[in-house]
Amino acid sequence: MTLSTISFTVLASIVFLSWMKGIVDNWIDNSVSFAYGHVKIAHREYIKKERLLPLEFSVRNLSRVMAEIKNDKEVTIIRQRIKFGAQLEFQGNTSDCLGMAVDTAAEKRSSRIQKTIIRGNYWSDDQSGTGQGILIGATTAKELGVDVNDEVTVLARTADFSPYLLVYKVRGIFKTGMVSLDKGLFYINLADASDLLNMKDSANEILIMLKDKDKAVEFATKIAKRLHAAGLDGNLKVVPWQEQGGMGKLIKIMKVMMGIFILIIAVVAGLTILNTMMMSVFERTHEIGMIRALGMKRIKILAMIISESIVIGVIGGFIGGVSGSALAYFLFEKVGIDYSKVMESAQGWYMDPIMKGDFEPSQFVIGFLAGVFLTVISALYPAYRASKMKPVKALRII
Amino acid sequence: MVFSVYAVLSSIWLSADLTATQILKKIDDQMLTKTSYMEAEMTIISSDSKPRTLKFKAYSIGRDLALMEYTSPAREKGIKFLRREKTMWLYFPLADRIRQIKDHMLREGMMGSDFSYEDASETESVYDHYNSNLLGQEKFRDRDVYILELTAKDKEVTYQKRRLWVDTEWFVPLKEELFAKSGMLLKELQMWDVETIGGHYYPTTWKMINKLTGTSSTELKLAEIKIDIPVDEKLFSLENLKHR
Repeated sequence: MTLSTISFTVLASIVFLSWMKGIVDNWIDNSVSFAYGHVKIAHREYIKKERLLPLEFSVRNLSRVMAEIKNDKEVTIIRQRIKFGAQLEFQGNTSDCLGMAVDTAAEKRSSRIQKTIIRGNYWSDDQSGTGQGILIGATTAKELGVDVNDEVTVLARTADFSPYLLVYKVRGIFKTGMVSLDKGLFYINLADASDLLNMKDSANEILIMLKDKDKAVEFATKIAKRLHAAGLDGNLKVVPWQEQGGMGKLIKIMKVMMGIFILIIAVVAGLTILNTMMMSVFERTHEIGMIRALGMKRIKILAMIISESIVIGVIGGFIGGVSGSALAYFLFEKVGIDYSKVMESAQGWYMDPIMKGDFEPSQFVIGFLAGVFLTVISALYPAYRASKMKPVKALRII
Repeated sequence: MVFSVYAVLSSIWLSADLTATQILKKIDDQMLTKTSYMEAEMTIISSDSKPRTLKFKAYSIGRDLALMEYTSPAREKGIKFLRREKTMWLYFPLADRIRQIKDHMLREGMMGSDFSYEDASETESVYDHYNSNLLGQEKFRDRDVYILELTAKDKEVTYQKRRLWVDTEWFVPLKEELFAKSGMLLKELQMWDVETIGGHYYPTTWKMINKLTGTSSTELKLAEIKIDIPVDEKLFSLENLKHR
């Protein structure tokens, strides 16, 4: 009983840890890849009013700002973007969308968008000029009834607030499985956006990808100082990913929730082990009385029960660790759980619809050691009770 | 002397006699033309960007048919705006496509100006949708004006309240304040340079000030105004948008 309890506890802990790590990492990676970058530079007013997609608050002197960043050894990729509101129309069907004008080469290196194309194709490196077409999310394409090589009209509000309309050929349709992207999003290249929106040498977001995402806060501070020294920071704000979309706060909340969950598992398992060890001690009351009567010291009885718990802990921890690791790796990491139905209403969340765990050997080690530790801690009281038994009384119990 | 005394007295007598509804009727008679053609220059001033000037020519028949064609700058040249009664379309020459203006676009500014498409779509007399009240008379820009307050009859109307300063002689509004349902002042329209064209008094400079943001305004200078001239109704067809 003790063995199965500890095995199950270790198994559940490993599966839970790897599962949560997978979900949180996937959410961070997708958010960083599609929306935030590791560090974002934008106009202060743009950040305040981002939901309204105000084109008038863009990063001016774009080339000078880019020059200040691009040689930093921490930086791997710089992506300039223009996000804008637009209405797509095809044969009388319309859809209000978020337009994303991207540097197609940089986007290809840091975002997974080109891997999600189900029909048509992504821009090749020599297709950075105008007239290079549009990529549309699968759900929007279906709603519009549009397919590759069809011509859609894109009606946008320019930086001057004027309406402007251009026709683009659909070059590809992407399907990420994330409702936030597949419905109501399209991509064009920066040259085409410049034509449509009347924006030259400007973007409303610069996303910077770093070698180490954990250094984003310190990098953002450094870049803000550098832009200030170059006289470029007048209206610009440098924001690390943790401060975007409330991600930092959400991660803290998730960590606390994970801690509480692990604590609950540990308490329930601890009480179960305590109970089974107590039963085991009481079942052997006569036996313990006998060995006490034969002269075994209390400390040795204590050591006997604790060493017994260590053996159970090691065996249970190992069984739970191996089976938990196997489950976490082969089922949760390789196969995952399909949440696509739930995710259909999760607008604004950048999570894959098939949520997968992320197993690491350290989770086996943590689970195993925690299992052994928990067993020993839970065995302390039963061991103490056993060592306190009086031989005469114990021998009376058959 | 006798004449001027008579003029003053008759003006007082007339003013005292006019009701708010009669004043509004006189404004309609004054401002409404059978047909019109004009060339205009629209300057959009915003604290967030450089001033932008667009030129256009416009034709109209009564209140129901209106056509505008932008002639400059180069980027906007050839864009046309057509209104037939309450339905509006935009034609984009580069894409050679026509798009109907509907839904949220109606509340957006025409070509980024502070005049919304909804402002431009008032067909029957706008004042039919309001209960009117004459608040009194005062001096405004050294002119005698009536002050009228209009309250919307139904809740669907964008501006739930309007206040007008109407010239007592010309029956032309010189200023109009437009309020939201909450009572907040949304826009202020000012009109100057009243000229006599074809027997009508007509303001040739209009300025719409966005009071909600306080950061933008649009000035419209009308030139080459021709009133009650022959205008072909075929101009106002969707087919014509592409072919002219």
